[in-house]
Formats: sequence, structure tokens, C-alpha cells
Amino acid sequence: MKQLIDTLQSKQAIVLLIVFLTLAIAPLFIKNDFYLDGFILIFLWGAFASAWNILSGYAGMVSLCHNAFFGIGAYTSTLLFLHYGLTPWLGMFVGGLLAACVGLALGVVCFRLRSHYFALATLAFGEVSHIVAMTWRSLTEGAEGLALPIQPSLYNVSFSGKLPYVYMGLFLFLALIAVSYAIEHSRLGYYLTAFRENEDAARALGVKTGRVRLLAMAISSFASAIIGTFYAQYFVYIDPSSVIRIQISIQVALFAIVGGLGTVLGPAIGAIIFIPITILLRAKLGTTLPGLHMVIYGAILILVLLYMPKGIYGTLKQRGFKIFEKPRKNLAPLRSEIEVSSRQ
Amino acid sequence: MLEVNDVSKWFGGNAVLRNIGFTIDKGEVVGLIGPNGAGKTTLFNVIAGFYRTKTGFVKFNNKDTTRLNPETICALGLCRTFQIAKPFGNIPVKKNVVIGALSREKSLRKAENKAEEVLDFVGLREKEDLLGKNLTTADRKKLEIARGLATSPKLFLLDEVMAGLNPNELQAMMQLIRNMVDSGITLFVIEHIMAVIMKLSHRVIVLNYGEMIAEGEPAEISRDPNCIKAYLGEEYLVAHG
Repeated sequence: MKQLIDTLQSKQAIVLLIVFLTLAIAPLFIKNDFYLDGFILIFLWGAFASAWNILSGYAGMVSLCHNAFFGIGAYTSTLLFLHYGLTPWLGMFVGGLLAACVGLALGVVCFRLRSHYFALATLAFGEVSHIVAMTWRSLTEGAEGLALPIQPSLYNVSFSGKLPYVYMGLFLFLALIAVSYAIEHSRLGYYLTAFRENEDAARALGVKTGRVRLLAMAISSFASAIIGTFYAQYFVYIDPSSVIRIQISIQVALFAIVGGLGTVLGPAIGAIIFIPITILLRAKLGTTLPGLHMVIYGAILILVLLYMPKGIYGTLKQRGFKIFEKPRKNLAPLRSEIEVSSRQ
Repeated sequence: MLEVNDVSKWFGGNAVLRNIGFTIDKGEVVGLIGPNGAGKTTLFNVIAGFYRTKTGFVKFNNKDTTRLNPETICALGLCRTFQIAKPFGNIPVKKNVVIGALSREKSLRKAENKAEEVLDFVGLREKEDLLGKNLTTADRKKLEIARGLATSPKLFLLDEVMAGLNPNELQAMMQLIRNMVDSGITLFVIEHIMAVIMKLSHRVIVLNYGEMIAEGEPAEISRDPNCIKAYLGEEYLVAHG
């Protein structure tokens, strides 16, 4: 029995390896820019959903202001490049740190709110950040947006083909899965879960719930900003409605929830499944029957959440599909309480 | 080990605790009894740092803990359980206990070893893979104790860990408490079942409407007319008199 489980374990690990290798090698043979674009979007949103999941999945603090962190990343690196010629390789870290500071400040103020109230407060912050970006014209050029010059060079983080972007995206994607894995298997992950499950019990056991959530917020917002910079470098044009609109937050939340909240692979899987659906539906139906693709997309979402309330990966995991966990021991048949006490 | 001095707690205009003062020495088992609403759990909340009081002070091992928060107090070696068990429902029993153990252990591996030890001690080892929410009442109470024990408390506050147990489970829980005492943990226990509290504790404190109406050995308490009137009931006097 144990051996069987072990082989299953390794089989699942092999499946995972094959998926990743496919993602890594396939772009080399794809010459069609349309599909390469699809890969880049999967990586971008998969990484972003994983970053969101660190705070909102593990600690259960649902944030609807990750659009602000994403936008801070995109705007900071772009502005630093346009005004001071700073390479986006450094600019993205400046943006990351700035987003982490904003995230920490927001956390200090808003972490006293719980569940829905926290989500509402962050929704307000996300919306306000959009308005600020629209109206602070001297800095952001408002709705006109900012365009990065197309001068391919490593320093400019600008390339002529799509392939370099595919691999940058893949790197971010894998890096965030690795970070999620490390967090889940560390003190931080245990403490975040404890907070999510019951704050009072966590505090009684010595968990500094305020501090661990701030740490999760800092990591999550830092990573979101880095991904924002990647977006700006790939699309070379940013404006408030493309990088700070509130729908961005809702979309990452959706990918993570549909994939599996508070799991290592869930958010990534959510993006891997739903980005292609979005792209294909839009491409096939977008012109002939405009709007229908959104209806179908919505129907698929409802079905998934109806039949897999813990998300796709969360539900698979519940049914015994495990990759990152030790095989379960055979559960001893539950002894009745009488038997337990009669041993005393 | 624990010194509570002149502690009062008000919720709006209601005094829930009035001028409470007592001490607990190392190695003691002290019972806390009183009718519903007497302020027993409130007193626990004050001692463990969940509530702040404006008057008086609480000292643990000669350190003033009145203004400290629960997580800091836990780090000092004072842990509490909850009357209504609060398991981390969606994670396995073992992970529940590991979270407690992490407050002392540096590495996850060491915390896991500690958790296994504690699960053996309370008799939950064979259920370590079940989710917290799938446990029975008796096992939830054991899990509360296991998580607390994993933080290596010097003083352990138990809030009605016997409530809702059947006679067999009760015997097992009594044995578990005796084992804790034998391992050198000082206990402060809220309990409604008189047979249990009289058997287990060295000393009993009686609260009524937020006031301490008596303190003494179990035998003394069961003879004290005030306590009998407030809590034990006239029948108790007749039956045990």
C-alpha cells in the first residue's frame, strides 16, 4: 500500500515536471506570436496570482488593492527610466520596495479590520489609487499614459522578439511558486495559517499575528510590483486603466480562488487553465458574437466554483492528489472514546 | 509564580471583576469555581493578556504582565485553553500542535518531534492526520491541551476542559491532568464538576458576581456557608454534611 502511494507520488511529480518542461521548451518551437503572447500572459498572471495568494490565501486577508502594488511597480520603473535613465533591472526593485512600504503602511492601518471589512477597505484603496494615477498628471501623464521607447538592449530590458519575455515570465512564474512553497513549509506559513483559522487561538499559542501578516503583506506587494514592471517592459505602454484599474485585483483573486486558495500550485493552475480559455474565447467569438465569450467564461467559473468549492487544485488535493506533501500514513480506524478511556 | 493584585474589570457600567487578589505557587493545582457569569473566564482573559485592566496588576514570575499581549505572555511560559475549543479546523491535528511547538523550537523538524511527543502524551497520536474540525468534543478538548502543552507552559490555565465529556472521557481527562501535574506544570483550572475540582485541586478560589467570596482547601470550601449559598446549593450541604 505504502509503495503504491509512493509510486503515485512520483507519478504526480513526473506529471508536474512534464508540465513545467513543456512550458519551458514549447515556446522555442512556437513561431506564432499569438501563442507566445498566451504563454507570457499565463506566466504573468500565474505569478501575480501566486503573489496575491501569499497574503490573501495563506493568511485569509482578501486584498482588493493589489492593482495599486502592480501599478506602483509599473510606474516606478518606467518613470525612473524615462526621467533618469535608470535601468528597469534596478527600477523594478525600487518599485518593489516602494510597493512594500505602501503595503506595510496600509497593513498597519487596515489589519485591525477583519474579513469583509478588510476587503472593503482595500477595495477603497485600490479605487483611490486609480483615481490618484488618473489625476496626478504632472507625474503620471494621467489617462494619456506613458510609453517606453523601443530601443532593444539588455540595459533597457527591451527585446525585439517575444522569446526573452517568455523566459523572463517563466522565471517569475517559477520563482513565485518556489517562494510559495518555501513559505508554506516554514514558520511563516504555519503562523499565517494559524491566524487564518483562528486568531485568538493563534495568539494564545504565542503567534505574533500582527507581525507575520505584515511580513506576508511586504512579500506579496513587493512581488506584485516586480510583476508590474515586467508588464510595463513587455507592453511598453502603461496607463492607469491598464495597470491600476480595480479589475486587475479582481482577476488575480479569481485565478487564485478558482485554482485553490492557500495552496502552492493553485493560483498558477488557475492561470494556466483560465488564461487560454479567455484568449481562445475572445479570439473565436470576440468578433462574431461580441460579449458571448464573457458569458461562457462566467458560466465556466460558476461551474468550477459550484463543483470544486476549494478550487481546482484545492479539490484535487483534498481527493488525495499530492505533490508537495509526504504520503499520508494509513489512518488507524477511529477508536471509540470508550476504548481510549478503558486503557487508562 | 502568579500574583493577581486588586484586579477589577468593567464592561461599560458592569463590574465583571472586583478587586480580585490571590497568588498561585509553583507546583500547585488551583481550582476556580463559581456560578455562570461569575467572571471566571474574564479573569482568565485578564491573566492571559486578552483583556486589559485599568486597576491592579498581574505578575507572572515576578514580571508585571498586566500590559503585555497574549503572544508575549505565552512566550514567558503562561498558556491558556479556551472554554469553547478553537481548533485550527482546516489543517491536520499534528499541524495544529506544531504551531504551538514553534513558539519554543527553532526548526520545523524539532517542532514536529515535540508535537509528536505531546500527541502521544495526550493520546491523540493516532488521529494526527485528521482535520481539526473533524474531531469529537472530547478530542477537541485534548487538542486544546496538546497545543498548549506544546508551548511548554510553566503555568497552564485550563478553562472547563471537562465540560461535555461522558464519564469514561472524564476519567481519561482526570488522568491526563494528573500526568501534567506530575510533569511539573502548575495548573489553574476552571471547572463546574465539583467531584473533579475537589479531587484535583490543592486550593479552590470561589467567584460570585465578580467578587472573590472564598479561598481555601477544597474541604474548607465545601463547608463554607457563603459558597454553599452562592454556588454549591443547600443540597450539597445535606448530601456531604
